[in-house]
Order: sequence, then structure tokens, then C-alpha cells
Amino acid sequence: MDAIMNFLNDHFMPFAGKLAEQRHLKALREGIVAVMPLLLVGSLFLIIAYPPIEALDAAVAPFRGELSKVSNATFGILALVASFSVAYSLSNSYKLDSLASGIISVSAFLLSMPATDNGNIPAEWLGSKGLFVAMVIAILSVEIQRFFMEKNIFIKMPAEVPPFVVRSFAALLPGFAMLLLVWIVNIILLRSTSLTLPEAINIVLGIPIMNLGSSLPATLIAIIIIQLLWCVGIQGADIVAVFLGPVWLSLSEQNAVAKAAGEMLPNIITNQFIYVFVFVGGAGATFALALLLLNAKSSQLKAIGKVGIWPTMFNINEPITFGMPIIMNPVMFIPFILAPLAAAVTTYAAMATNLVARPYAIVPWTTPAFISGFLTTGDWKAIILQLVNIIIAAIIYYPFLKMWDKMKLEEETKQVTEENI
Amino acid sequence: MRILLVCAGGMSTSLIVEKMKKEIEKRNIKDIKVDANAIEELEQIIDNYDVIMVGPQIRYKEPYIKSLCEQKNKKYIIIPPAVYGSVNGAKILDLAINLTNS
Repeated sequence: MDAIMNFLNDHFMPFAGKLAEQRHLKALREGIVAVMPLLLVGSLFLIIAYPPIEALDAAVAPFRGELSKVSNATFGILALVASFSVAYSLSNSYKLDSLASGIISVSAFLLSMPATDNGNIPAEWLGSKGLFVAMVIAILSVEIQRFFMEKNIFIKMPAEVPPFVVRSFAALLPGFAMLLLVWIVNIILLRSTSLTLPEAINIVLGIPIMNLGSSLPATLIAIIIIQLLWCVGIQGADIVAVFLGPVWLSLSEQNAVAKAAGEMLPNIITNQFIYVFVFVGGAGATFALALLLLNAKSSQLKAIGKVGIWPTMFNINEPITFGMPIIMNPVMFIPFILAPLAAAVTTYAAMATNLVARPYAIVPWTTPAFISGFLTTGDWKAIILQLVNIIIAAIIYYPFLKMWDKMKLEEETKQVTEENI
Repeated sequence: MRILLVCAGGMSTSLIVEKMKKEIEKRNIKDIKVDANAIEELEQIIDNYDVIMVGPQIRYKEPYIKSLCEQKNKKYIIIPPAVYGSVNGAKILDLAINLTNS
């Protein structure tokens, strides 16, 4: 066991750290996180447009068209905003002119879009469908900007010219190069393959990644990795979200768009699947564990339960994972990994058979269980699903907690007797 | 003294900050300020603080934090997991005070 721990600590942790710090991945994550407030506002309007209570539903129906305008301008422009925010973050990390990078990237993103017959920008590409296009273009445009900076290619100005003006000219050449590149590639692609640039990027990159990310096996593997990282005390979800965050979020966005259009919700695996149904109480589905800890015999564990129960209601579980501890404690590893896996399988089964409605609205990840389930799906049965997930997690945790409780209790009584002697 | 606690989202550290504030009030210390924030914000706000305390769940970011703190000449510490888990405001406050005195 020590050998495994040492390996994880000495090799795995630095590797995970480097991965999470990797410039482009970090920019992608930050750029996507920046879109979150918009999606939360959009969700709020979506919940109002489709109230989970039938009587309200009829009352709201006449205003639905007006209400959905907000979701069009939030969920519907996920990619457009990301084309700015990803470029902005990446540019920041290079200490370039990040505002200029964001602007060039948005322009290049729109340039890559196939125009409709009447000359309009096709709205479908501005949402999750265009997310991977936005990411590729954002990274490319910042890299071009960096290339120009490093090679010192810019329009030279006399020293008397104010820095503000110099700065605005500095972005000129890389901006011109980027737009020219997108323009030419789009023309060549269209002539040779009859594909537009966004379509080509989606076929090569977007669709395979989305298909993989929306599958149950891939999700289970992602959960195992998150849990293993937490076992050695690393914020696992953060690292995995570097890769899967954008995928989960665009799957959620597809559901939101389908809901606003009154269609069937296509996806089960979504951002909400992970944060609302699998990680009830935080990574490791620790809400159940906090409840069990309240009844622990060891006074130390009982105290952790009392400290931990409130934050874990809001899905913050560090007091439990570090206090019990679960981290670096092999006794607790098995249930810590199994509980969220079980929750994933039950949730998937319940939604695949349409027993429970699929999620469409996004709520902040700190929203307490039951409320979060109801709000994201608009289905009261989601509350029961969360309850079932908690009960299953409790059953999985129980024998291991008993074992740990006994060890802790022995430790405590030994201490007491030693003190008495 | 201005203390900053950072973790992934600034959520669990804000729990600890609340406990530390209570402890500061109890000890009647006037010149200590404590805040919590997300690690992503560190670079922008580090100048406003003297001591950086890091949640153990993001200790994999230590190389980055170390270089930033050295560059800005700030002291930092990774909060030991057991202390962190116990949400013990007094102990964590002592850690910060000891760090500045060392």
C-alpha cells in the first residue's frame, strides 16, 4: 500500500499537476468557466418558461416565446462567448494583449461560419455545435499573435506615438494574418471537399470527442479517475474537467436547446448528471457518509460528522475527506470509489428508461441535493432518484465506516487508558 | 497582516476563513485580515496579501504557487490535510502567525 501511495505522490501527482497547469488546457477550462454565469441566467429563464408545476405551466405558456429569447442569448451563444473567453485566457497566460486576442478570435470565429443564403450568420453554430470550432480558432489566433510577438514582427512607430496607439497597431498584423488564414482555408476546404471549416473541425474533433464523452463507460472511467485523484488528496474533478468540462457543458446545452424547442432531451450524461446526481454531497457522494458519521461511536468521527454535514449539504466535502480522513486512508478507498460509480449507473438507468426526466437547467454546483434534482429536471421523481443514490451510497459506505469507526474507537480508548496510567 | 487562503474554487477555504475570523475576534487581534479565493485569482490579487495559505487538495499546484510567491516575495504554506479537515480556525491562524514570524 505504501508503495502505491508513494508512486501516486511522487509520479502521478506531479504529472496531474503539469496537466492541469498546461497552458492551453487551462485556457480552455477558464474560458468555459467564464460562460457559466450566462448559462445560470439562461437556466433560470428556462425553468420559468417550463415550470415544473402543471398549473403554472398553462399560465406561462403564452409568454414562452418571449422567455426563450433569453435562453437563445445565453445557451445559444456558448461558442461565440467561448471564442472570446478562451482566447482571452490563453493570451493572458502569455501576457499578450488579451483584449485584442479576444476580439480577433471572435472575428475569425464568425468568419469561419458558413453564411446563410440571405447573408445572415447561422445561429446554430453559435451554440454548443460550434464550441470545438471556437476552441480551435481561439487557440490558433492567440498562437499566431504570439508568433508575431516573438519574431518581433509589428508595425514600427516613432517614439513620439503614444503607447495606446502603438498597442492598437500591434494587433493589426496578427489579426490580418489570422483572418486571412481562416478565409483562405475556408475557401480551399469548400472547393475541395464541399465542407465548411466548422463542419470539418466538428467531423475531425467535435463529434468523436462528444460521442466518447457522452458514453456511460467513458463517464465511469472519468469518475474512477476523479476518485483516485481525491484518494491522494487532489481536487480530481478539476483535473478531469480540463478535458471533459467542455463536453459535459455542451451536452447540457443541447438539452437546454431541445427543451426550449419543445423537443425530446437527447443526453443523459451532462454536467448535471455528474454534479447533481452522481456527486451528491461532493466528490465520492459523501452526503450519505456525513449522515452515517453523525452516528459514529468514535468521538473524533462524530465530531467530523457534525462539522462536515453542513458544508456537504452544499456539496463541499473537504472537512470529511480531509478530516475523517478518506485521503491517504486505504480503508475508505473502496467505498469512496464505488459509491459514485453506483450512483452513475442508477442515474443512467433511471434516465435511459425515462423513469426520471433528463436534466436541462443548470444550477450552481453548491445547490443542495433534492432542490438541485428538482430544478435541473423539473421532475419530482428526480428527488427520489437523489434519495435512492444517497441510500445506495450509505449501504456501500456503512461496512467500511464501521471498520474505521472501530479502529478509531480503539485508538481513543487506548489513549484514555494511557492517560489514566 | 493580510492572509489569503486559496483552494480550487475558494469554497472550502471560505469555511475555514469564517472560523479564523471568529478566532481573531476572540483573541481581539486588530491588524489581521483573512480572505479566501480561488487559485485562478491568485496571480491578480497576490499583491494585496502577505501570507498565502494553500488548501491541500491543490498542492499539486505547488510548483506554480512557489514560483509566484518567490517572485512576489511572499510566504506560503500548504495547510496540513489533518488540520484542514478539522476546520480548526485557531490552529490555522497560528500557522499563519508562525509563518510570518519565522
